[in-house]
Amino acid sequence: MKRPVIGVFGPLSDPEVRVLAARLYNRGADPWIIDLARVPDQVRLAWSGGEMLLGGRSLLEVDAAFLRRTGRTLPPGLQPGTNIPPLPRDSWDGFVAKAAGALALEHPRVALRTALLTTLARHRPVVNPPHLQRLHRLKFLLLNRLARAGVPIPESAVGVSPLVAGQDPDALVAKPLAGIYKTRLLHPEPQNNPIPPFLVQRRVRGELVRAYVLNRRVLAAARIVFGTTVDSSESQTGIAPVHLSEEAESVALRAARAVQAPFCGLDIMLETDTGRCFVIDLNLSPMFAAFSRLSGRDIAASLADHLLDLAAVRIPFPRRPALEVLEQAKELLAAEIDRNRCERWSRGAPGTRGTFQEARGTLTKAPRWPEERN
Amino acid sequence: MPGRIVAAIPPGPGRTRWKSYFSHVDQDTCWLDRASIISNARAVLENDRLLLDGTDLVTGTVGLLNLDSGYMWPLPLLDPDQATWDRWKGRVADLLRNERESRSFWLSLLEILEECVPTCVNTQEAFAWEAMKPAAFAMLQDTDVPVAPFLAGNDRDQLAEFMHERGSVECLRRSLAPGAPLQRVSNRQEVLENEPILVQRVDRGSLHPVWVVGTRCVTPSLPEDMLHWCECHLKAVMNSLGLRLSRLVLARAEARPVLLDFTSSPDVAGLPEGDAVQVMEATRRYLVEGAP
Repeated sequence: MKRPVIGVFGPLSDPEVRVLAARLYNRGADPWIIDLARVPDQVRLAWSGGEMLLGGRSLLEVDAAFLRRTGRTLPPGLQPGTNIPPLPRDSWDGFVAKAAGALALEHPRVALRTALLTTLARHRPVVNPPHLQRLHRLKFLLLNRLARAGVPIPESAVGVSPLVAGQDPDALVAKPLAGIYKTRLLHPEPQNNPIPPFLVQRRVRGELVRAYVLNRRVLAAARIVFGTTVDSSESQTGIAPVHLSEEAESVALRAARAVQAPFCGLDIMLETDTGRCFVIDLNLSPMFAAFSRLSGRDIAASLADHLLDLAAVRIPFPRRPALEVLEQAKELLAAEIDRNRCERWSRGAPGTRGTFQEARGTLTKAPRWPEERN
Repeated sequence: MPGRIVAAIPPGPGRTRWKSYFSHVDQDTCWLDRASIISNARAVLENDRLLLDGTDLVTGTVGLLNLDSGYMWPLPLLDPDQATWDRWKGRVADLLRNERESRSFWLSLLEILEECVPTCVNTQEAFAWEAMKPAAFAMLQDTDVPVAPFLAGNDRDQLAEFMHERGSVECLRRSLAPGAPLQRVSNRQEVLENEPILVQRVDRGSLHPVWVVGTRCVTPSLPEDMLHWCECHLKAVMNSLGLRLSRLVLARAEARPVLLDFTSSPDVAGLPEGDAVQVMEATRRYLVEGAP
């Protein structure tokens, strides 16, 4: 019996990657941890047609995948938020060369990693696919989509908006648009605020609840216990598991549906004065390892089960007898697709076949029918 | 002219040509200038509204002409004068962060517009595919569109094998950076020592540029086999990649027409005057009337 191969994209140093890989392994799956930050420096890549070889192994061995991180977008020394001391003018040119070099390399590398993931997502289920993950860096687009879908968000603006004029300085917060730095109070002196453009949002006072949605269900929710800081992560001391009210649960599910996210973590503010709830953030690659440890709700286990369900659509898997009929149908379809692709390869120019195809292996074989896999 | 077009085109001779043409045909146009909008905060995004200098950008707009890939550099990094230096020297990390923030703002603005106005040339999806050429070619191949044989990556052995030129075949390479130009492979070693690249193999001297608006080819003269290729595959290429205006490059591989390249931000500056007007008129009609 073939063990399902579940791709987990992210570095082994990431707690979410480690805990998910462990849950998958315990459930009989074969987790394949792929750190895309190592592509292309430490991993050889060859991609021809629809076939992608990473270090000699076909990426299409993956039956389903979880995308935690695409790969860092800047080298460690240049990570935003790093406390780099002011540079003297004469060292600027050297810094420019370093920064420009890093950025010049980074754009094609990120494009390459995203291209790999996008192609994988066309052939296999990926949670969450890269076209959704990009919303993490496009916060206003994300908020706008929520607002247009009728999901309550606090009044938000970028630029010189009437929202900002004449407001109590304690009533507004400044937030990043690309999700990099911490939320802070909007300062009356512009030089103390982030460099524009940034997001200005009405500050909602009340309880902050973190909720996880997976496959159109709320998995878990907990109140975030934190001090007096505007950004909860700067003074968080713990969490207290809660049951979401009917309204809050409906808001969470509508928000996930509005951005079509199979898995997400939402920050919901329950406003003390009005009793209303607002989505203040929606994270498409949320951290869950610490939350699980503190709340006792094993998010990784649910995620692993979901990924195995998705993989079961591709391969017969004894844990899912109810899906057997569906699996057989999908198998026949997959085999048919394989067969068509083999034929297309064989019709192609002679030059397209050769050592690459031999190394790639899978498509040079006859189509795999379900009984062969058993 | 009925309806307004919102246009985002990078500065240069191409934008000058578009401006001149829209002015000539009296087309109501609102020009989005990335630099001034970001630095002067002229645009305001509010919950579900977009304002530019106080005017609602969505109401009354019939189409978005977006030929700006959104690629940008952190401006203060270029070559700061003393005043700029004094202002920024303590905020080096902020400079790097700001490139992403500005990019996020600009792309959000354009994508919200795209989602709210009736027609769009070109979509963000098209720009995404342009930045992922190997993924785009693999996807087209899966939909039975003949594309030039390609290999992407940094595996030296595979690249060396792939680039082994035979007879009339030539190889073209490009960096995987968005918008990188195609170059003929002149020195195999030079290619192998670089970053991951995309290499494509076609018959020597067989390249033909083709301008497409909507799903209609507006290039007047093409060889018979390439015209036939267009009839069969143009619709699939443009729809699959979210393209509405593009300059495709067709070539031949093993004597059969194939797609070698596409661009989501084609520049009309290099076209003869008559051809450029034809492309711009077809694009304007597409935006205003929703037809090529």
